[in-house]
Amino acid sequence: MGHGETNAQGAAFSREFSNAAERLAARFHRWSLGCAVQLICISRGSYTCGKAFAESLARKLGCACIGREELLERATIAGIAAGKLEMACVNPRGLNERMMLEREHYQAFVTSVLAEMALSGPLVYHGLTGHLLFKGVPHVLRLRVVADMETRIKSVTDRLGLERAKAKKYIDELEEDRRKWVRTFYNIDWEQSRSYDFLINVEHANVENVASAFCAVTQLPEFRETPAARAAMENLLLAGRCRVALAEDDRTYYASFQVQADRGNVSVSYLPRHLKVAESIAAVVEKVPGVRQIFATMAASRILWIQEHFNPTGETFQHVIEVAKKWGAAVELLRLQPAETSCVVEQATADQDVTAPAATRGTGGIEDDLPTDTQSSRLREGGVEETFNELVKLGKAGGRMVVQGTVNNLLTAIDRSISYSLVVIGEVFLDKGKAVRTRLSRELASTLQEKLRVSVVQAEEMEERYLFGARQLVTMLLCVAVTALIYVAVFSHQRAVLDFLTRPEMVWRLTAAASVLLFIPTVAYFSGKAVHYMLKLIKME
Amino acid sequence: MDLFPYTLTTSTMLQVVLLGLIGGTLSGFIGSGGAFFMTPGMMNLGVPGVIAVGSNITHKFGKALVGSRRHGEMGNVDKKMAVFMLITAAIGIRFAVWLTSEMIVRHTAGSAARKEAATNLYISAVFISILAIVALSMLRDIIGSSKSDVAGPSRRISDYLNRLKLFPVIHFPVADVKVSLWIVLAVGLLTGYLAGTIGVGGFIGVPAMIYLFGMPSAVAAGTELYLAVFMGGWGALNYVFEGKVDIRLTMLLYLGSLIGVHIGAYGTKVVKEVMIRLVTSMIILFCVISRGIAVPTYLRQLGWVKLNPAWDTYFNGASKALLFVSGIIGAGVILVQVVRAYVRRRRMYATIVVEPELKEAKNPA
Repeated sequence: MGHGETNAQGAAFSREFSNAAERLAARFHRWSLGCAVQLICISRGSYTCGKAFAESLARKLGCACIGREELLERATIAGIAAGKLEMACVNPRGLNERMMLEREHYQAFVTSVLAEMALSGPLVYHGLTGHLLFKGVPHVLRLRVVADMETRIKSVTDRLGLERAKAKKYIDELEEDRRKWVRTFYNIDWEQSRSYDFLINVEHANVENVASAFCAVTQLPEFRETPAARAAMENLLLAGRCRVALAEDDRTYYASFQVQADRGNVSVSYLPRHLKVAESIAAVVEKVPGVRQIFATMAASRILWIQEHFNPTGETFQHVIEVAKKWGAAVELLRLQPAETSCVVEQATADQDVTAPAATRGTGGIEDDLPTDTQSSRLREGGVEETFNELVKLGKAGGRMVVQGTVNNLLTAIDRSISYSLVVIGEVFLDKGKAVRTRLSRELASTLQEKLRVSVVQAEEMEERYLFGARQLVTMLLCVAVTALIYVAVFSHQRAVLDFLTRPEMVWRLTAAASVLLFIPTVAYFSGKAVHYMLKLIKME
Repeated sequence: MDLFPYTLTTSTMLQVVLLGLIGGTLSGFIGSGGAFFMTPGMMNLGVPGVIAVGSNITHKFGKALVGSRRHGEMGNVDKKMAVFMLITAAIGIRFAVWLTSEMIVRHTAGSAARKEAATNLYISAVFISILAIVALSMLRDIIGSSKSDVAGPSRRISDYLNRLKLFPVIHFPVADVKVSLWIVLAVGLLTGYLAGTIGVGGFIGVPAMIYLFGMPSAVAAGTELYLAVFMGGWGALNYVFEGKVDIRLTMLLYLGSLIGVHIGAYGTKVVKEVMIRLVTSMIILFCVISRGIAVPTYLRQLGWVKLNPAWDTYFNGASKALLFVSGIIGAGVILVQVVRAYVRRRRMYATIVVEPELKEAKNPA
């Protein structure tokens, strides 16, 4: 036996020993987790060793690992035009209607695949936006792997044999495409750090070592599954499956749907122009295992109503319902609870990093490590349950959610991919004095308006802005009277008016110009207001 | 003075209100000012071109003043862009007003009717050439988009201009685009000139912002509306100063357009985007043809072609009929969709609740 042969045998034995030790450690880790199932979502840039990190972490934890590429392949096999969707997303012109539907289908498909895998065992997913698919599921560990440009360029030049400049351009273009993909799907910036629990820079660290270190992080109680978190995941799975079923059925494939699920109760909203699908929704969805009750609501748009305590018999409820009926909108309830310790409301800035929000989606998306009963009761407390049931009766139910904490938590919890037509801010910050409450409510309104770019209204202003009452009737009559007066005055003195407008002297020409500049906005204002109120009166805005 | 009829007949007044209603509906539906319909419509009613443009730009000023607030609230206005464009747009408007109300009149020999015909011909020529380009481009875009997986306008031109990097390049924060100052100033000048000449600024301003600057459509429309307040104000000031605004026409247009704009805006919620673009391009195309039919009359009045003066009635009648028929059909399509959606919404707003288990129990088969 030669010296070289002995060395080779030694190295093989060492590798074998190391693998066996790793398998043993993984088995021990799985045993230490008990029945708790973990989901780790890793967001990786191009050529940042994110895939290697994910695979290493999965190996060390002894759990399944799946990447974005595999999901895309599965989606294509399932009949989704994933490749076309990728091409369309990177095009700055945006998606057409067909591709928008494909996007909905793909999103639901991916959610259901990942949720199913995550429910059956611990899972590491590496891709772009896995963490965004599981909004409201608190135990998801959200990681982002980054690396410095030089390392990435080197990686590209080594693998693809490109020159430095071309390699950098290649990475930049790849990153830009991925940024567009995320923006198309979730309308947020991919890089914003507040979307992640940990940001890992592998510039100076060995990927294997970092993965070993993160094995300890995965054991933190914050990232362990609770029964409530499992229920949230089951809800997402059910909602995803229902949406996929709707996309695959010949009767409903062409329509756009928003699907939410809550312990077997499935809410499906569809657009008025797809009225024909209404009767088929139940027939398609009821075949999905686990469905107990189906609510199909027609909604042209969505109203988000933020309040601390809801009251289905209150004035605000009546006003919100009236506006929802006029606009054909579904109403989504969002209960904003102050943080249990001290609720410090800050003016939100997009760059501020915040911790993950304690968001509880009405789709069933629950919660943190509180006892299950406490968590489930959050959606029933504060009048949410009663108000939601009332909305169901009126055909305006659009979902419900509880957010605990600050304005930043609220901003993180709101789904930016949903385009709300109105945000109503009811009574919030009830633990504060009246003056502070008013100020904070106004600050919240302006923050939401700035960040979400939608109309935001305080509950007490709703009547004035969107409804028609006695006050509006008086204003309308006043505007009609003033308009009529102006028209009568002008049309009964046509000659005098025209003479005034066409006098050749410089002084008169200047006076005429100034007069018209003041007169025309006045006419536009009064006649515009009169028409606006008249259309409000017939509920046609 | 002879440009103004001192008393408007009831029929004319009603027709102007109808023009306002159709123009307003199309305006709310498309998101433009509606001048492409109202200006030639008034010319068909016998209003001299320069008065039609002056009255229309004054109408636009008041309407933009009311409408721009909402776009501002939604964060769709890039004020920095508007300021830069306004610098040259003001020059463009002033030049256009001078050209239509002084220059052409001064250099046209003969009677007042001949001078008026010269102005009308000039306005019609600009109208036909610009709106034909707009309508055909829109139709081309619709045909192209049906084969593509992406929606929205092409970015080829804006990408090309960005690559040129003409110094100085300015960043516009709301639209989040970087554009060369020279391109912005040139577009401002052209928009101002067209707003001053035919009252149609947005039709050039909005596509230019989208195609040349690469701005998002909502920001382009919001910025244009904001710009229209100042451009409309400046244009109105210039035309009133020249004595070329009939505020009665402006007021009658308001009576129809303020209702129409709400109907049109409602229509966008219930009609598919492709249909919106198709209806718009077809109506613009018909407006162009309608104006083309009126041109021989102006040529005869100028003595450039020999035609029987009795034919004027037929040319004008055909032009007017085509404009009104296309406008009424276009607005009618929108109105039908709006009424259908309104009725449908009232009939069906309850949530359908189905419990599969109960259903099975009731129908065991």
